[in-house]
Amino acid sequence: MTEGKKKILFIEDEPDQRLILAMRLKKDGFTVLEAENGLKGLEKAVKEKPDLILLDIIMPGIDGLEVTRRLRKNPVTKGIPIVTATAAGLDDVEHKCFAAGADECVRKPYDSAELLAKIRRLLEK
Amino acid sequence: MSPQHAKRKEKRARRVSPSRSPLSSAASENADRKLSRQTLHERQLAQDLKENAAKYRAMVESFDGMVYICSKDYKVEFANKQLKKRAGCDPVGKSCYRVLHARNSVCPWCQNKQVFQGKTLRWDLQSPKDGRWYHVINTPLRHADGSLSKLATITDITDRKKAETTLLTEKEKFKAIFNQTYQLIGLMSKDGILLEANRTALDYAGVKAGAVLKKPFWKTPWWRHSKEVRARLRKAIRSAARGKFVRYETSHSAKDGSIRFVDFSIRPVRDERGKVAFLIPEGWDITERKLVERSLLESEGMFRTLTERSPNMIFINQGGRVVYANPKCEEVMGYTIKEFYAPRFDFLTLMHPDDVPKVRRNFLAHQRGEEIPPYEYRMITQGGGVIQVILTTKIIQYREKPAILGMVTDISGRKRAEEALRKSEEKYKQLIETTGTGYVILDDRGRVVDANSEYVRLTGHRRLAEILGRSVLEWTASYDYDRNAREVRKCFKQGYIRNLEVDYLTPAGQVNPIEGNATVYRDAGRIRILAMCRDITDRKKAEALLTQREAHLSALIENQPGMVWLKDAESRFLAVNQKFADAAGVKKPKNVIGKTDFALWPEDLAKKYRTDDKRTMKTRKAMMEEEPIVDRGVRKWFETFKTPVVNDAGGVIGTAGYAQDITERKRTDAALRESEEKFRAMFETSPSGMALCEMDGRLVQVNQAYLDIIGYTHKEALKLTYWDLTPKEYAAGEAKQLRLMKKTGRYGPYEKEYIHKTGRRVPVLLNGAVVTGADGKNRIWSVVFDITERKQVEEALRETQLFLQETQTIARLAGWKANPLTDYLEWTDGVFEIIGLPKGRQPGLAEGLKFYLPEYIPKLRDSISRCLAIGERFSLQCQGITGTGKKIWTEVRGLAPVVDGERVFVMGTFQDITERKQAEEAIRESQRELREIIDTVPHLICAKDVTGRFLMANRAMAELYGMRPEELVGKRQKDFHPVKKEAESILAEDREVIRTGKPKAFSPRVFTDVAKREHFLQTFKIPFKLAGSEEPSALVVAVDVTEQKKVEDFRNEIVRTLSHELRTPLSIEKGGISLLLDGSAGGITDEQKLLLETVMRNIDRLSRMIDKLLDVSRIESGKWKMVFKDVDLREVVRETVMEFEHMERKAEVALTAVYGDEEAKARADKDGIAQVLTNLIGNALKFTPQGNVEVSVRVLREEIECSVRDTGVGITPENMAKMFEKFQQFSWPAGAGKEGVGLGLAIAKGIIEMHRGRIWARSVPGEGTTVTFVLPRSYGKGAEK
Repeated sequence: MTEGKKKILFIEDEPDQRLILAMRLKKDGFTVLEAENGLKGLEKAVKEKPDLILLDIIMPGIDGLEVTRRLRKNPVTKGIPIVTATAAGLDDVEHKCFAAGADECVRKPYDSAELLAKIRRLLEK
Repeated sequence: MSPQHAKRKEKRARRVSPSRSPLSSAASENADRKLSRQTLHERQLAQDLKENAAKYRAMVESFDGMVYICSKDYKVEFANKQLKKRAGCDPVGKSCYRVLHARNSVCPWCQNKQVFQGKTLRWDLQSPKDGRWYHVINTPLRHADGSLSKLATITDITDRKKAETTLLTEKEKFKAIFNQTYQLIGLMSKDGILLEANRTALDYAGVKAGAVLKKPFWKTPWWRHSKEVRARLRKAIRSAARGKFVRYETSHSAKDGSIRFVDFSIRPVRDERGKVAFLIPEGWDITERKLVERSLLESEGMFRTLTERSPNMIFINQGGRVVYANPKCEEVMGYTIKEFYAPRFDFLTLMHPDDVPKVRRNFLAHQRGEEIPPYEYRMITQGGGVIQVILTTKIIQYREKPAILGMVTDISGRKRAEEALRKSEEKYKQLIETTGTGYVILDDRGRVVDANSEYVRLTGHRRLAEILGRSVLEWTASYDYDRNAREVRKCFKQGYIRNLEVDYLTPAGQVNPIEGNATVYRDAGRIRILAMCRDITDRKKAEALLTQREAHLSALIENQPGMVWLKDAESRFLAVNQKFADAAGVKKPKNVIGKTDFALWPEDLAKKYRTDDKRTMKTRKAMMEEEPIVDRGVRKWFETFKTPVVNDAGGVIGTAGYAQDITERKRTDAALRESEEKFRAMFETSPSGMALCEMDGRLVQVNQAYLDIIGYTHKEALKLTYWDLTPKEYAAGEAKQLRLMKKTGRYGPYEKEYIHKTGRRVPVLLNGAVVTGADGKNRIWSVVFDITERKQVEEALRETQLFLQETQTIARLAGWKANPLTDYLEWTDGVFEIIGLPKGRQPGLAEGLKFYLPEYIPKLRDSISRCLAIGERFSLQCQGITGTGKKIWTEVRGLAPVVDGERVFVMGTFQDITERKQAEEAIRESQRELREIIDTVPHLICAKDVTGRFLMANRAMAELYGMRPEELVGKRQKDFHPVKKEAESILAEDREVIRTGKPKAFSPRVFTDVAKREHFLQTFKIPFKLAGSEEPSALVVAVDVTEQKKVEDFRNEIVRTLSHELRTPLSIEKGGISLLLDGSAGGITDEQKLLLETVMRNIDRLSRMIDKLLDVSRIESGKWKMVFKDVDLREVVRETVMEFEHMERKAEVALTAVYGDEEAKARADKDGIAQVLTNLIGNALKFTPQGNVEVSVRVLREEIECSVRDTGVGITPENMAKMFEKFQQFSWPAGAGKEGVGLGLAIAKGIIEMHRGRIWARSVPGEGTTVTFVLPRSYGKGAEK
């Protein structure tokens, strides 16, 4: 918090979802960068070097898991904390997310309080 | 002797002695010296007489038979050596009856009266004294003084008689064989006139011999059915008459009017000069074989139809190579059959890399002969697509080698449905997975809260309602009550119990043993126990049976007279009996268990045993041999029998063996053979006529019998020489006899022919000796028998034997004769040939029967005895082992002819039918193979006729009715199907397919099995005509989709409930937000408005999704009510397109409708079709970034076709297959919209199918997609199709 606002890159294909959650994060004092699919998200991550990346798992094109893997491979982005979000109701999705390199995993629909708590914890580390 | 008697004797002696005198004295010679011319003449005469006497004496003495002369008052005056020998004394002077017959008075049958009236009498008689046959000639002998005596010659003709009887029996026997054979045999003249036909042939045509014999063969009733057959026959007869053996398959007409098939041949038989003398037509009935072939073709046809049209992939893999793959394999996998069959094709390339180890493991297990339960894995098509499959395999014999038959069911659809379900309802997953086992939910006091039907069944109730709220202890057997209660308490304490075995007692008193697991969980704060139960009746029964069987087996083994052993597949002993242990030198059988032969026997023997075991298991055939075994150090001969042990699944799991000590039998066999060599029967014939000739052949003296033979008078005969009577071709034979005579003083007996006065040939039998006359000259004395009669018999026999031999050669048919009471057995040469033993030595019956395998002997022995006792004919097919160790099949038939009012022996035929059996076996084997394939298939397969009668059914089908397939065949489905209504609709479907002649797939329908369980069967019916039958039938293949159906029903239910529940809160939300938005609740900021609009949009989206979900579930559960009317599709298209015009959409895409002037009416639900169009157009617009979407209507002959074509992104072939399914998981191309849940096409498909229409799609990725549906055309009012 000492060096101004933290930058969060939010990769999500659903515009309404982006709108609502971005608004929430902005209200909580974050700078929010948005990307509508995986490829654009990866580009922005390299370019903007956000402090944290929040991304959806199920997306057209390359999915969230693949994005996570690529982020972890790239030396520029590999240190950035990643929070994945999924609407799928299966236990093993979380395992897959962690296996791909995510630091946290949240389920849709978002519990704003829980999400914010997780984001803050990751940013303080 | 009385004085009177003496006087008479003296008187006669005086009278007789000077003239007749074969016994005259030297005194009378001296007295005659000085006599007149007349006296000289008399002296000459006396001299002649003297010489004659010597001749006669020589003749008579060298004659084999007995000769005597007696007076009218029976006093023997002369007897030759033979007679003296027989009488045992010199009979001269004694009464003939006393000497010959040991009687005290004249024999009642004495013919003296007639003889003394001047008649010569000949007759054959059998002596009561010694039982032999004699030919007797009694002739008057006139003495010079005019007095008469009787000359009797008695010849032993027993041997001749015997020969004749034998010949007759032979002929009789042949006749029996000829008539008994099941083949059709006859005899024809060269020009085709039927001379003889056997009974079988006559029976087939139902005619009497008289009606067909002496007629042209082609005009007989056998051939009445066809002109072509008759023409072919005439041609064959012409060829055969030219000396060619003709053989072809033809048919003949049987007495019941049916047509039978025969393997027919005509064999020319040549006479000694090599000319065709007659023809033997012979027919082998092959009707049965034809029928079997036909039924084979039929089942092959079925098989082919099934496999070629199967909705599943079917393949056969042999040693890693694909040797068969059905068209579905090509279709699904994208490889051609050629590629599959290529030797280098590796079937593992078809597997998903992750599953290769699993498939390889199972494949190797198969190679070892293990059966594998069906398993799931993923396959990769040539195009790279992944499909989820379940593989059912079975080891079969394919082209006489083990192979793997596999059936691959594509369960991708099911998998996806399951996946979708898992996502929507995790909670119920558990239950669905356990369907098939019983489950019950109990409350904290053990009372039933919920249960599935299987659990209800286990308790012996019918409906859930009957057990709801009741305690499980109510149906727990009293003896398990405490334990069950204890276990329930334990469950509450530790949270679960495992493998609890309890007996349930049904209200009907039946005990159902069950096994259960239970878990405690909380449901809205209440404690519940969820228990899963399994019916273990079958397991319990099997366990009991197993124990029982094991006891049975060990008793059986222990009581065997020989050694018995059982080995596993690695040749380790599993069980042996005491005898075996003794032989192996081991105290107790159990000490042998687990060991191999190498631990028990010398290495060479053990190696042999191991090899035998391997061979037995590999060939799956039993082997039997005689072999030496060392028993406690003593080498003995054993007859061993080794057989593979096959389990229910058809896998070889080991071997069993039996060995019997035959050392003793071997020894007696050898001794018997030796002693029997000594007893060879020989035939000899005896002479009859008499002749004396000079060494140069001039006849000097002949008797009447001789004259009778040659037909000359006495005077004429004396001018002849022996050579005049002998045909020239016998010169060589005569020369040989002369040489013999010079060497030994005797010749013959031998046969030749005499030339009769009339020029005819008379067959005779000769023997004789050189006799030295009183003049010191050597002459030849011959005894001659006229054997014309015998020759004739023989000739006839020779002919028939020739015929018989032909028959034997043709049919490998032989004859035998036996009597079990005397252990008598006689085989014809054919038998020896067939069973491969050296000809000649006839074995006894007991020994002869040893040719057969032991299991056939009692039946054969019994049949022969019954046949002899009560005349019951028999015909048996038995297996035997030839002298060369070959196993052959034979057919033995027998009958006992009645001779003199009683049955004295059994005779019959013996035929090698191995080839026929093998052919039958091969056919049966391949049928079994097909049967196995059909039974292995998890699908239900059957064929029915138009009345619903089962013509064929596989195991899976029959099991639904609790029957075996063979029980089901022949029954009519509606006669026993548990639910009448179902049976009626099934029959209607069958009939529809039979009537239209077109295959048809029917959507799943309820099928109630014999246990009243409901199945959902998806059926595919194919019209089918069985070979040889004009009657059409329906071949039915059904897939049990009950499980899928249950899953789907369950999901639909959830969806319906959820949808309704969700709508309520949604409408509240919507109402609230619209109040906020329109300012009714006070003013809001722009940012607030933006947020509220976003929420509103998503509420609408959720409502639409719920609507679609509801639509799908309504369609699937049949709750979608349609109103069918004649609808013009052009109108629907126009209206739908217009609706889209009013909606907001991308400007880059043009939407057009194209249709003609012709009315495009279909019987349809207008709203339904509008919905279909909406979905299709919506999709097209969604996936078309720019370009156009065109909706067109075309009127076809019987259908209305409607297409929606777009120029959008297209669909990959991989996704194409799934596009009409619900909840498809394929990823959308990047950039495309994401609205909806992928139900639009599924709904469209459902609606179109409810219209009995079809819907399909074509697409080229990057160029666009066309979705087309057709509906049956309507022709106006009421023209409902």
